[in-house]
Amino acid sequence: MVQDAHEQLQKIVLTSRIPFEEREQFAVALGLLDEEGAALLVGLFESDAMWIEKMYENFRQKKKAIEEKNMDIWNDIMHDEEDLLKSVAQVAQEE
Amino acid sequence: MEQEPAMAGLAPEKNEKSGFNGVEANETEKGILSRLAEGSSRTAGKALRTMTFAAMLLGSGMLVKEANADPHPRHNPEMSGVSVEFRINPPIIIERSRSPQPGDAYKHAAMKRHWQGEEYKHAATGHPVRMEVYDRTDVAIDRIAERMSDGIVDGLFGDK
Repeated sequence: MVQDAHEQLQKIVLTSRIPFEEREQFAVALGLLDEEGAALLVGLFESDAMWIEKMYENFRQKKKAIEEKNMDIWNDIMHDEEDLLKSVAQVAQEE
Repeated sequence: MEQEPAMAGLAPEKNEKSGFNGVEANETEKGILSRLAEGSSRTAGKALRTMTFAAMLLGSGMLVKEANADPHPRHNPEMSGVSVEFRINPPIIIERSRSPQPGDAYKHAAMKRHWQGEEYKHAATGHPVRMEVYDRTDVAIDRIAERMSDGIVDGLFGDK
């Protein structure tokens, strides 16, 4: 049976090392991706499982910042994201 | 989905640091980043923005997902398609969002006929909700974004 990208994502997340009680919410978060984004993440997660935890940690921190209404944490997360995307662009330029 | 300023993508312009969280990237990570870049940094940004969007929905209590709900459409075929439960006042609860599969079309259509516009209490929270069923995930997300368009971050983080 051929699985679409979202089904693959669900399977990856639900069998990951993410805390059990958090997997469902993370799966819901990833379910908001379009097919292109889901397919990208499937490839990324399959290439190295550490990315599952990194993306989950990004999601977890954002959720925590909103729950606590903590703008300082939120800004830190945004800066971390900026660093990540800059590094992605840098690697792309070097290729 | 166009993002609000606080959710906006962080378009990479120039490199100042490398690696995740400012930590120098090792070779493995660079290799992964390279593969990520193959899908374009725009797509990476899209994934991160999706995390933001979902975190806002979940963190603010507007998105409700029961812990033991089965997310697999083949196990729960009557939930195929895209269905959204909007809390009536204030609006917004999303229950599920995914692309319908060809074989699920009749189930999706049946669900749409049965549930579209239905108002009831959410099973998990007791909030009054209204079900809206969409044929496409991107349309559903746009509709949710519309409901959130009045500066939700400002509202969450205090007065401005």
